[in-house]
Amino acid sequence: MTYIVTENCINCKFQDCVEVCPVDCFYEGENFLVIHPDECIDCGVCEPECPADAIKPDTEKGLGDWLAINTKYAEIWPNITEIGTVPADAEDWNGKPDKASLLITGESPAEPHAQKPVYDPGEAGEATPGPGYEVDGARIRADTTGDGDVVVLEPRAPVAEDGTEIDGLRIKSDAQD
Amino acid sequence: MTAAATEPAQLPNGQTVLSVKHWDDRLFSFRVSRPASFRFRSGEFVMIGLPGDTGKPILRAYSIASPFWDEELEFYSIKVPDGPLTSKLQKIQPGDQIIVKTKSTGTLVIDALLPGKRLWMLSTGTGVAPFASLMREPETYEKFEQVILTQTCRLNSELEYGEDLERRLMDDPLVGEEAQQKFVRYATTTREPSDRMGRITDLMKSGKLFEDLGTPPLDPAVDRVMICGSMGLNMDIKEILEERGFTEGANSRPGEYVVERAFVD
Repeated sequence: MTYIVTENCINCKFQDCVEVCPVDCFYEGENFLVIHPDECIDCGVCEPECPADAIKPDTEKGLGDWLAINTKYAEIWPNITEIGTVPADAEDWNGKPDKASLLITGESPAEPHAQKPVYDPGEAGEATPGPGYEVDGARIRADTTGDGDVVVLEPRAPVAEDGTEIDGLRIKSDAQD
Repeated sequence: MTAAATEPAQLPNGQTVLSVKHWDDRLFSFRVSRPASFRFRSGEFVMIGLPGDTGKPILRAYSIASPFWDEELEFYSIKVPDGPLTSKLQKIQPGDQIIVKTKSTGTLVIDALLPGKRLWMLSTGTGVAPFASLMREPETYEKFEQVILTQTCRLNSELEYGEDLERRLMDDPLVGEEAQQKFVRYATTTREPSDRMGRITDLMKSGKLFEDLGTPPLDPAVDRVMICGSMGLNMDIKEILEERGFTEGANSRPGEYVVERAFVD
């Protein structure tokens, strides 16, 4: 399993999670963070730290879309290892419904605020530039003329894989020795 | 072996192993040098490991089993015969180097708990490690009138590290005297016969734990609980506590209990 960031992070982006992550597996979009599922060690420390309760284990039902978003953008967005500026109106956005459509992926010029700030990957330096970004020296910059996909979120009923219920948390057998 | 061959290569984030103790065929503890600038809070964990065959290090989360003021770092680990890390880590010798990353974190810290009277530290297996740190932390005794450590294992030999911790605590120059007044260790086995047997959750539900210790049942007004064990233990105790009105704490919002899974169990 992995932990993932879900809808209520959008426009809140408190970043308390970033400070406590022992493996620095958070990646930063303009108004949202994601967790890299392959880097997360399932320690769970970030989950209760999030003031917006936006971090969930992916074993919770109905989070398939958010797992896909975390997986995709962790490969595209730059790594974030220290807390940055928290949006001034973060508290106002906390708990607002239907924020999914406000997610800025940096992939489409049609998105609001598509002119993204220049990110400095800093020490990590390993952030993989993906669609919508181009490498400019040591920095990664949003490609504002890119024509990447726009992520569309649709509510989906939880689907049980084999008709059986998954109860509670599962531990990846190879997560630890 | 030549003198040169015994000189370990310097690793990035490398620290030197100072001592190793094998408790039985599946548990060992070891002490390593502490990075000069490394600060942490008692109860936190860090990533430690060894270089992998492919050059990429194999790192795992380990609770630091020594308090923040100790000049060395202690860790307590299981040995898994084919575990990617512990199959190799169990072979370390004094003088060897291991990788110790210095971004420490965790929720089993006093900061994540509201003030209270009695601190319960509930563990299974190697989940006792963060409490090995907290039981030697002066703040633990400043903030609480009583400190109770429970550890449940299958076998008696698996409780020996905890027994040794208690002995060392009573002789501790910094907190020994206070610990003699305030600290209680309550160890149980689930498989091998011993003086005290049973799962801690069963002993809580039946009330035997409180009877044995002479304490009232858990009360969110005065009791504070830290949990570190298998996922099953963590979930079961969470349920018991939430039924009694306890709320989970975190660094950003302290509560009446905190939980962390024992990473290697």
